[in-house]
Parts: sequence; structure tokens; C-alpha cells
Amino acid sequence: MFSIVKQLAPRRLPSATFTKPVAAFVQSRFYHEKVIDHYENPRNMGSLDKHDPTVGTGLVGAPACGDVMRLQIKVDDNGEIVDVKFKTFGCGSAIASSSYITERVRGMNIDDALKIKNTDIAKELCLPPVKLHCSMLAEDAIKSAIKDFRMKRDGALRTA
Amino acid sequence: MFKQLLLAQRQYRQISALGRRRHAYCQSGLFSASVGSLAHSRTASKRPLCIGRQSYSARLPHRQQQLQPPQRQRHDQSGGEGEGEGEGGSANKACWHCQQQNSPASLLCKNEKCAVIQAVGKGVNYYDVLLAGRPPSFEIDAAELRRNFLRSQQAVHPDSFSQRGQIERRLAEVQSSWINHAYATLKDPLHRAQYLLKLRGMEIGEADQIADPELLMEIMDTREEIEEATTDAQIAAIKARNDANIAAVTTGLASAFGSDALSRARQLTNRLQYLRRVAQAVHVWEPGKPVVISH
Repeated sequence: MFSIVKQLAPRRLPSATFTKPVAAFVQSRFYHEKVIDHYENPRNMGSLDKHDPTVGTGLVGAPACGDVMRLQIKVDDNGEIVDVKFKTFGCGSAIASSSYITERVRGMNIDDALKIKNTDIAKELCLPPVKLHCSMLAEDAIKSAIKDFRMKRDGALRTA
Repeated sequence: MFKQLLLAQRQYRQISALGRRRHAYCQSGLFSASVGSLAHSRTASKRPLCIGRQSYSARLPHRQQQLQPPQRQRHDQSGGEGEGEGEGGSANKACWHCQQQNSPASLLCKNEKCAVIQAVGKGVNYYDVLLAGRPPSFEIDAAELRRNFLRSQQAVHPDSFSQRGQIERRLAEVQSSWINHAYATLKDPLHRAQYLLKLRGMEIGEADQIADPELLMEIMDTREEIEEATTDAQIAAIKARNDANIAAVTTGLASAFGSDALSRARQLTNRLQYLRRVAQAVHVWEPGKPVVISH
């Protein structure tokens, strides 16, 4: 019965979150401890040289809340992400989503990184429904960074 | 604030349902007005005398007839079907007490003998109630808005309804918070612009993305500048620049809405949202402390 409910509502958070403590799930004002951890100890915060041809820069924003997120990836010749940095101006969930995604994509191939879904991020950080758009922003950031890198690389190949 | 509105609405529906049940119970004639006759009833121990709990006004002759259930309220703030030439799009609402037809934006029943507070009309937008039903526009008279707000609150504030029945008290709460929300929305240029876009069906949703990389880069640079600033003079310079940008955008919004250029208005509203965040960051900046703004 429960699995049928899951199929009918694919956009909802996966079942794992329903077993989590209620306070962390229901109240958007009480951040989950994972979000607090990423907020206080952000991983890979900083910037890379945007003029470097091996660096792709993704810059995305959410107009509804005025958040802005920058994600930069350094990609080697095999298409593997060797370095990644982020900078986010926004709420704790947005910072945590971008921090988590930098951890996740480090060492990944860019084709695999494109497959990351916002639901994975939301599930990992136990984001409440009201903050799901923050995870979507992080997903868009990595896609935008990879797109920028590919445009740079294709542009370089054409001029070479 | 919107959540409080929904909660009040839900509370009102629950309480009003309870009030109707209690009223029907009292009217059912299953018990008399004396205390002793209720000794056998299960409810006697919990509520000894139902009729005693009716207020004086509830026992007046005109109140003894069954009160009609109030209009099903929908705080339809999108007003997509409701906006236009005043009452044109939204239906007249019937008074819950005397069934008199009232205009959707009315706060009190226009029947002089009745004059009870009304529910929030379906499909009514903020301009109908607070700006005399004028077509929604970006440029408004702030003094008139404030006057109408204060006058409306004098009519519907719950403090004036503390001696009335439950239905009226709940309606007063809902009306009052709706009017508060309407005033806050129309007073602030950013919220007004967002509301106007919503009325025209071009609402900025949570999942929307910005398609303007230059705006994002500009905002990113400014926010980093604020983070790296060490003196008040630097912050003052950033603030002056930002305030000038905000003034320019507000003027642009007035002309965009005036000429009905909605996509441009949407772009400018997004820009204004980001500039506002910069203004907040400048406001909370303190030397040596990280800038944290919450929303």
C-alpha cells in the first residue's frame, strides 16, 4: 500500500524522511543537523579562476527568494571533475545544498554529474517541502557549470 | 502572515461548525431551562446548562431563527477571475445573517437593521477593499491607502467585537488579518509589483530561474564587496549606489506597469528583489562579523 502511494506521488520526498524526527521534517525554521553542519563547516567554499579554460562556472539565482549561487568545476581531459568550489548567498538550506553537491561531484565524470537530481540532495539533507527549491537551485548550478565548461571547450576546439 | 490567515479561516470553520451544532442542540427542545432535568444526561456533567451559555444577544427574537451558515470563504488573492472593473468579475455575496446582497468588497452588511460584519468576498483583490476598487496599478496614493486601511480596521478590528457572537468574532479576525496583509502588500513597492504580476497571471514562482546572468554577476560582486568591506565609508558608498539602483528600478516599474509591458515588469521585479537583499545585507553589516540575513 505504501509503495503505491510512493508511485502516485513521485515528487514527494522519499519514504526515508517519514521516519525522521517530526520536528526536523515539519518545521522549516528548525534546520536539520546536517544542514547546520554544512552551514557552519561549508565544504569547498571559494572560487576558481573563471578565465581558466578547464574551469566551468555556473551562476544561478532564485528570484522568489533572492538567492544567488555560484558553482565552479575544474575538469580534466577525461571529463573528470578534479576540483570544485562554490559560493552561495542565501538561506541555510541553499548553502547546505550547494556545499553537499560540491562534495558529491568531486571525482565524478561530468556525464554522471549531470544525472544528479534535486531529490537526492533533498533526501540527503532532509530538507522540508518549503525548501525543496534550494535543492533544485543546486541541481541547476551543476548543470549550468557543466554547460559553461562544454561551451568553453567546444569554443576552444573550434578556434584551435 | 498568510499562514495565519489560513489558520484563522480553518479555526473559524471549525468553531462555526461547533457553534451551529451547539445552537441546534439548544434549539432541539430535548431539555428545559432548569438545572435538575439535565442530571441524567451525559453532557450535564460537562455543560450543566446549555441555554445559560447563550449570550443575551443570542436570545433576542431576531436571533432565534436558525443562523444561515456563512459564505464559504476563499481568500482568492490571485483574483484572476475577480479583478477588473470592480464588481464585474466577482459575484455579490449574500449576508450570512439577513441574506441581503452585498458588494464583494464590503466589510459590513449594507442593510441598516443588520450591519453585521461580512466574510471576505470571493475573488476580491486588495485594490477593491483598500483603494476603492480602482483598477490595479503600480502607482498609488500612499496617503489614501493608509487612510482607507485605518478606516477599514476601525470597522473590523476584533477588539470591537469582543462582546459579539462567535461567528462575528471569527469573521472579524479573518477580515482584520486579510486587511493587514493587503496593506503590507500594497504599501511596499516590491510586494505590490509581485502582487500585480500575480493578478495578471505572471506570478514569480519558487521554482523559477533567473535568465539574466549579468544581474546575477552584478549581485554576486556586490555581495562579495560587502563581505570584504572593512570600514563604514566603504559600506556607505555601496549603500548609496544600491539606493540609486533601487530608485531607478522603481521608476522603471511604474512605467512598465503603466504601459503594460509585463515581461519587462517581471524582469525589473526580479532585479528589485535582489537589490532589496543587498540593501538588507548593507543594513546588517558590522565590521568583522559575517553578514547573515534571514528570510
